[in-house]
Amino acid sequence: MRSIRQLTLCAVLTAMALALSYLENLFPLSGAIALPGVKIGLANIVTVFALYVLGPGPAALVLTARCLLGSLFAGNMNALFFSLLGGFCAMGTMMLLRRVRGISVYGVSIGGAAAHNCGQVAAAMVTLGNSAPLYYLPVLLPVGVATGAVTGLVSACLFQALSRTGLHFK
Amino acid sequence: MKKMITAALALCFLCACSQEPAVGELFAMDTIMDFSIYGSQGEAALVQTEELIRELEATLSRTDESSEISKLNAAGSARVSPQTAALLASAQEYGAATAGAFDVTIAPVANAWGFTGEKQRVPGQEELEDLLALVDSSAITVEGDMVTLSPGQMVDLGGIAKGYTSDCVEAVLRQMQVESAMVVLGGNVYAHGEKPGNTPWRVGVRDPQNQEAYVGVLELQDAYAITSGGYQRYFEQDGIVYHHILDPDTGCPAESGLLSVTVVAPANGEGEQGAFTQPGNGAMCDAFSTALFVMGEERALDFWRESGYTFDLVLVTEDGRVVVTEGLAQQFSPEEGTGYVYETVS
Amino acid sequence: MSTRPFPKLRPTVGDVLVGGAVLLLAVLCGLWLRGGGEDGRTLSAVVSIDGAEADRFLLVKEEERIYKSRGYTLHIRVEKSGTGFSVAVTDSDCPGKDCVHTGAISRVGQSVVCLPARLSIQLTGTQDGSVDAVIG
Repeated sequence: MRSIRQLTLCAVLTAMALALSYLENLFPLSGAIALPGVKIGLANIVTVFALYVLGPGPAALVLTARCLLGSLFAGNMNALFFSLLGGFCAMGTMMLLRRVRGISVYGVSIGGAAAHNCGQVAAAMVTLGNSAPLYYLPVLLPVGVATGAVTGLVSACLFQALSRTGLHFK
Repeated sequence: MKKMITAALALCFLCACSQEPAVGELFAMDTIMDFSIYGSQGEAALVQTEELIRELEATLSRTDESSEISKLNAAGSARVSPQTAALLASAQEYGAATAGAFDVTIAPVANAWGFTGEKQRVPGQEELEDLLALVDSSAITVEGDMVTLSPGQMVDLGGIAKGYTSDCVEAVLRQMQVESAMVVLGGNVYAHGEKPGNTPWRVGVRDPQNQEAYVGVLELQDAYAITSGGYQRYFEQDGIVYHHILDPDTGCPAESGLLSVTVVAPANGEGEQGAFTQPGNGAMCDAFSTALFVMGEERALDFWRESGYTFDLVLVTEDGRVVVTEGLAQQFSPEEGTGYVYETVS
Repeated sequence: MSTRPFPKLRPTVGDVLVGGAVLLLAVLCGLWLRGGGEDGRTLSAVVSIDGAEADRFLLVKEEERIYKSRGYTLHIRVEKSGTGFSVAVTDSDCPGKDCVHTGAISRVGQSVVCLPARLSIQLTGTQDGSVDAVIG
């Protein structure tokens, strides 16, 4: 029964992540900071949640499904490479940071957002075949700190709200 | 640049004999010109040099309708300044010496390709043949200050004007007793004297295939070095690259197996200066760099051996060789890791 | 089943350190990109398409240039800005138009990227330290 519950949860999380990505596109940040790849990264909240509650394996599954379906819906398979590289850089970093004592869900989110930006810049460098996208990093990283803090706040509120449900953490 | 200034400053403290250079930059003759002039006369020499260049541009430009050259082209004959007449006579001399590989009357053909304007195109064979009939600099007559072109002819001094300009800059620097200066006219170099600290100037020869790198470094003092290469200006149509150095025989971009030709010659030195500066080694380097690019490696080296003019060469070939004539063997140091094979010829 | 303790939900000193480390990285990266870049000198713009250099020009006059790649057309304008010049993509028919939103660049190391067109414009200096001048 456990695995079916887990599978269902994964599916729900994937759907939520997709919905959040879509929601985010309605409020682009490019008006304020005009750089490609700048966004709040709401979908990262789902990755944080999945990582904390389900563990790395299922979280990776949710992430892959989200990237694949997201690119498919957008009809832009070029985006798949970007979202996968960004997503997995973020998840890997968050897995590591979570093990460090003295770092809360905020620090984990901030590290994840920054890593996500690094991954996307790397993807852009591979796509373009030169180092030009590197120039965006000094701007994208501070933006990542800010957006990471925001998603960290949302995640903290989420865990706070779920604190009385007897949720198990992995 | 910073390093150079720092090095220069350090040397000042060491020998207390020189100063920071007067540094100037201007855009003229369709290129960027850079000057670093050392010594107490630096600023004054800089001002004079810039004035001189503006004047020359106004006289020799083909795009400025009020220039002597434009008027000559429009009317077919005109009275010109002694300077322009002398430059045209030199152009004829270099044209004859190179058996027409350098020709200032290529202008109508260059026009047809659009290399002088904004829009480039590939002219048809018939059109080229008609225009080629007009290309012959020996048909120009220069009598005193009266110049006459044959009907339909047009001249473009683009292949010699910058070289002549550096001749004139040398004259100004000598007149003002400047001992040390580096003059860069859009990639054409005149090294005046030695660098402060009594070392030669280091001049990189650009790699035609990787324009951020050099094939090697030339150590120069009191010398001209001028490069012509197909990579400097070109356009692409239907996947074919057409560069701007036209072969006066075919009217098409020269396909000689060379990527670039660098001609190095000594400075003119203290000469008798009359009312104006006669075209000298600067003009020669400019004309020969174009002509030898058209000729190709073999003919260029024969010309170097037999022409009687004093100059040396660095040739970069399409098959990946850098050929240096023996006069430069001591002054040229290959750059490591370029992938070129280096040869010295005598 | 092993269960971890409830996650920390309040910001800690560690979080500040993580944020600080990221900002430091950004600053270092910025410094590194600008390394050796001198302002006030003439700059070159290098235009690359599909990873290969497609064009290179000096920023010496105001002008417009047009590049086509992967079915998109990008309009590029060179303009005077302060003592030097800046480059910007003024118009593009690519989706997202991130390249247009990036705005004008005017310093060594800066770049404008258009991912859909696989095009980038980078600014580089024109002087090199080891030699006094370059010919060609």
